[in-house]
Amino acid sequence: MSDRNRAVSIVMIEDDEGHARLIEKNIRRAGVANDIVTFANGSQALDYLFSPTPPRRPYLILLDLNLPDMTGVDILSALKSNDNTRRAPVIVLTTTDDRREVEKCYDLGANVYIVKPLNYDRFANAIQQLGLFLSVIQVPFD
Amino acid sequence: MKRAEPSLKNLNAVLAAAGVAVLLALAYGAHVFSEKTESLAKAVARLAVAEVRISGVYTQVLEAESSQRGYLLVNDPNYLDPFRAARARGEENLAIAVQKLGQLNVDARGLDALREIVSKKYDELDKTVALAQAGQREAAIDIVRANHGRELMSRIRELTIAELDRLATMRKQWIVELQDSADKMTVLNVLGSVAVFLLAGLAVAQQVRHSSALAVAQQNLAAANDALESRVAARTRDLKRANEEIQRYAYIVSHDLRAPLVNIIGFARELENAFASLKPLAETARDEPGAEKAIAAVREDIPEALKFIRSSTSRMDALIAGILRLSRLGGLALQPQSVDLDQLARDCIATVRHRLNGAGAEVEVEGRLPSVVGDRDALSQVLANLLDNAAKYLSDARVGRIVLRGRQTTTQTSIEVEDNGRGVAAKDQSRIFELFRRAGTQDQPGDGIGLAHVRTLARRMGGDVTVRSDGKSGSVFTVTVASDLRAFLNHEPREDRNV
Repeated sequence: MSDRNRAVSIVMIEDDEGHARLIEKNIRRAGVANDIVTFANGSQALDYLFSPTPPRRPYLILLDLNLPDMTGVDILSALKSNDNTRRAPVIVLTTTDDRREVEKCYDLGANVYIVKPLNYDRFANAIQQLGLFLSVIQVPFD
Repeated sequence: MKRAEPSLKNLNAVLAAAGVAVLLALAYGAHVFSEKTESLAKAVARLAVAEVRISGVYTQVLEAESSQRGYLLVNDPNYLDPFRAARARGEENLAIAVQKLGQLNVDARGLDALREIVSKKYDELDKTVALAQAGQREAAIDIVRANHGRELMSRIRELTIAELDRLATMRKQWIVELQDSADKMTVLNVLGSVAVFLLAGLAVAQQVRHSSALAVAQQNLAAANDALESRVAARTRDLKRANEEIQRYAYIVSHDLRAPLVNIIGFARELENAFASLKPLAETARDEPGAEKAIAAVREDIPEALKFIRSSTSRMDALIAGILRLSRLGGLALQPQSVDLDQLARDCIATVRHRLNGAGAEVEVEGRLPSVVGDRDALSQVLANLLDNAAKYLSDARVGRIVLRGRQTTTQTSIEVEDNGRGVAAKDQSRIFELFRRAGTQDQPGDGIGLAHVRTLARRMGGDVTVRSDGKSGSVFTVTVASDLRAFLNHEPREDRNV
């Protein structure tokens, strides 16, 4: 993993603490050592991402669509219309596999759409592969 | 909604009856008076004839007398010419007068008296003329001088005048009556015309009222229809909304149930993994004090607990997946297209072939299945589910045999899937179409979703599914769908489905 990539901060927006933990565990298992910041709701995540004060870092965003305060789609369009986060890769990671929902997310600029597999082996496998993927992709620096 | 007012109908009937009665009365009256007028006119004419004839009698007597006088005076036989004809003509006139009076039922006794005296007069005239012709002119003139003839003559005049007076009075009376009758007839005619006019007017007015009442009733009916239609539309909308809400609810519930389930499954697996690394350590600690309990936990309790967690969660997972799939099916947009059920059935049979071969069962399509306009995927799922069920629940007691047959009307198409399997007991026949319900011996894998699925799809395609079975020797599942799904979908108000 390059040094540049090591600086990337993974922002996970996931309201289910258990899911967040399982995702994090499996990403770690894939050898990813980046910071993972987890938010249980959309508004806190957006406050964090849009805030001008923290040191500017490249972000990679893991987004669940079913959130209590706002829909993932709203968050996605907010991310893509903000200069801080416009270029940040967004990986939608959710249980919704509705075709229209998938299309809508890609239309709004999501980079990857992953459906959480219900079977845990496949779930773990998918997240670990995602971790491998995260370790090789290039994230733009502002 | 009121029907046409009964009072209006009754009034119409009464008016019509009254009109007919008045017209009949008037027609009868006119008839009576016209008969009377006619008979009076005839009577007056006859009476006039009688009068003329009676005058004629008198004139002829006068003529005969003057002829006799002339002859006696100048003794010239030429003078006797009128005399000779007069008596016969007088008789004839009298006879006609009597006949006419007889026809009129008028007393003719006056004429009998007249005839007698006239006859006497003619006798006297004949006698004098006969005497004169016999050369006894003097004797004849003497008779004349005796004034007997003159008296007779004045009697004749009196009688004639009296008779004519009587008849003239009668005639005048009749003419008055005739006038009266004619007047009445005129009045009746006028009344009849007026009545006809009035009745026609009334009938027209009534008709106008009736039509306007009818128009109002029609308007009301149309309004009621509109109201009914919009009510039906509103109900249908409500129903659809409720249905969509249920689907959405099912979707959300299954989704929300899934999230914690993922955690249970995931952390159970984590636990398993963690336990796997822990287990050898526990085994090596065999000699430590209190190790038996730990070893028992490691060898039995923990693996058992994990096994049950795993089986229950996967069962729960299947149930939730079932609900989710069913809610999706309810919301899925159907794509009507022309589908050859025969080909579709053969494709479906091919997909369950391995199961059938394994069971040593055969499947047959009886005749040719019809074609429909329907959703290919949905139809395929329905058929596949029914075939799969039939293959799954064959009887061990006999060689399996599954028969498909189709029937079609313009609106509905039905496919029967008959098997000689174990059948469905009567008490289970409605249950088996409910979600997660299964019947009979539970020796086959399944989660009780298939038939619920079939029912949802069949209903969405304008039909349903039913089962006939004696519970022993097999069952017949009949699935019905609209022959033309497009027409069926157009018929019901659509709203966007977005589950």
